Amino acid sequence: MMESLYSEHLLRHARSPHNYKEGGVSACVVSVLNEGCADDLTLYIDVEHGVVKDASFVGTLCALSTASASLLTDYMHGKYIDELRLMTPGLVYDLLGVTITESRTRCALLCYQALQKSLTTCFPSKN
Amino acid sequence: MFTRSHFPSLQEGYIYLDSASTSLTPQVVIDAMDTYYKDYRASSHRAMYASAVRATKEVEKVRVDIAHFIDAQEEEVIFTSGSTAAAQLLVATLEHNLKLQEGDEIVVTELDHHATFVPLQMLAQRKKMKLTVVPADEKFRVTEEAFAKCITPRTKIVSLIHASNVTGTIIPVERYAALAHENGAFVIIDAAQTAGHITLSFKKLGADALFFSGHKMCGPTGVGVLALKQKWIERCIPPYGGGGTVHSVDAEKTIFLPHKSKFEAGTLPIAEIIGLGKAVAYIQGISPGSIQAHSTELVAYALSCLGQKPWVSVYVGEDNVGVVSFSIAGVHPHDIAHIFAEHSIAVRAGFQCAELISRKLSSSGVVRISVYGYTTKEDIDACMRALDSVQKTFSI
Ligand SMILES: Cc1ncc(COP(=O)(O)O)c(C=O)c1O
Repeated sequence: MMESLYSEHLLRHARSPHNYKEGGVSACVVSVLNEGCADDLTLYIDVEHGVVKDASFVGTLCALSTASASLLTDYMHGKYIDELRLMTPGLVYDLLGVTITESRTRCALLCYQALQKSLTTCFPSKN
Repeated sequence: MFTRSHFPSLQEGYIYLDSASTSLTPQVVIDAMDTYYKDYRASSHRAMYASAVRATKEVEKVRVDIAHFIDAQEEEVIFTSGSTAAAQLLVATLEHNLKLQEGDEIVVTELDHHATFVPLQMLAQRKKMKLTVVPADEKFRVTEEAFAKCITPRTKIVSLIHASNVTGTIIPVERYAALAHENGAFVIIDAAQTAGHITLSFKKLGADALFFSGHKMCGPTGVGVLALKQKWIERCIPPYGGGGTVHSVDAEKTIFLPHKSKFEAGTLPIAEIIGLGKAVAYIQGISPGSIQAHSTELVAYALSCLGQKPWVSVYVGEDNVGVVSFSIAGVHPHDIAHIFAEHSIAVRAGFQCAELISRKLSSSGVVRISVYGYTTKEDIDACMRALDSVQKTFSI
């Protein structure tokens, strides 16, 4: 049998995700759909002086997309928006710490996709 | 039953329980297509040289074989690239030929696959027709009572799925077709899940049209059949034109052929038709009824195993073509299917292209086990071990 995707680390975040809540009124809100299964994720990002003050999410999600969103929103806290612009999917995989097969990249990157959408819609680059 | 060694994809340790998506292919089918590509590669129905004549002969022989296989007339058999393509061709034909009026009605069932549901919904929207969905009951059946309630004098088209690809339920379409005909409706039967599983009689089912795909019944991908009653073939103008459909063409007009060829525009999927012919022969080599009996036994076995796992919700029709769906509260179907994949078990998860029924069963869809003539009880046992692993992983 191959190495399981469902490591203790991933399951901990899937069972008790961090930042699983709706954001405040000042938050940027974006929603994305997982085209592979019709799951949805809403990401809330609250930014002050170019720094992420709060990041949270809600949605109908599988264990992998939940864990990935939990880890990614944790990572986003306290980061400069401009720093987040430089983020690649590789960082999400590093945060997850398990091999992501082709069939699950959409789940693993769903929150990342929401982040990309919020960067273009709420925080467009000034350059 | 099927001899497992006939199926080259059945490698040691690989457990294939996704036959409702697509079946595996026996070597004889692959060989027949290979022979065409190597020995008589040519277009059919177009030329006079020897290989072209042979290609035409082989294709037409398959048409005859298919006609016997589904108890239809040879002249009623139209080759398509699959069930979905057949459904589109049919819906476009009906749109061009029936005098559909605003307020007329289309009846579909809650078990219908997107292959028919979506094009009929689109047709209803274009023509401002009413789309009525016959609900399935708590046993995943479409009852005669529920069906009868949806039929009105304005019903023009009725779509019936012969067996659900989600719950496996076999629908007694014969009775419903008769009821729909009393009201003058055109009746479509989606036999994608029953062809090659149960004995089909286009004649006895009484529908105006029936379709299925080759790849779900030991055949190759890219080929399907639309059986259309002779009177409609004669009466209807084809919605798509092209090579092979015409009697004559001049700058002003086209005169179509009077027979089924007018619905077969363009070069046919020749290799695939030849492969499908072999698949039909392969299935006919098994005693009639035994594939269904085998599936029934495996479904009963799966149900008895699942009965010992009260945390699994099972969705399965009683009269069943070989499909068992389930969900587990709090665990996403894709996580379940992923763990199955880690055990080298192929199953399908999600809405199964039949979102109406799948979403009703469970909001994120279901996991589906589907069996065929090469499936064994050991395959089901492996599934149960994978489920134990799901239970452990998610601390159920
Ligand atoms: C009941 C049913 N109808 C139609 C289809 C569509 O078949 P195809 O994808 O071969 O066109 C399928 C296959 O998924 C099916 O299960």
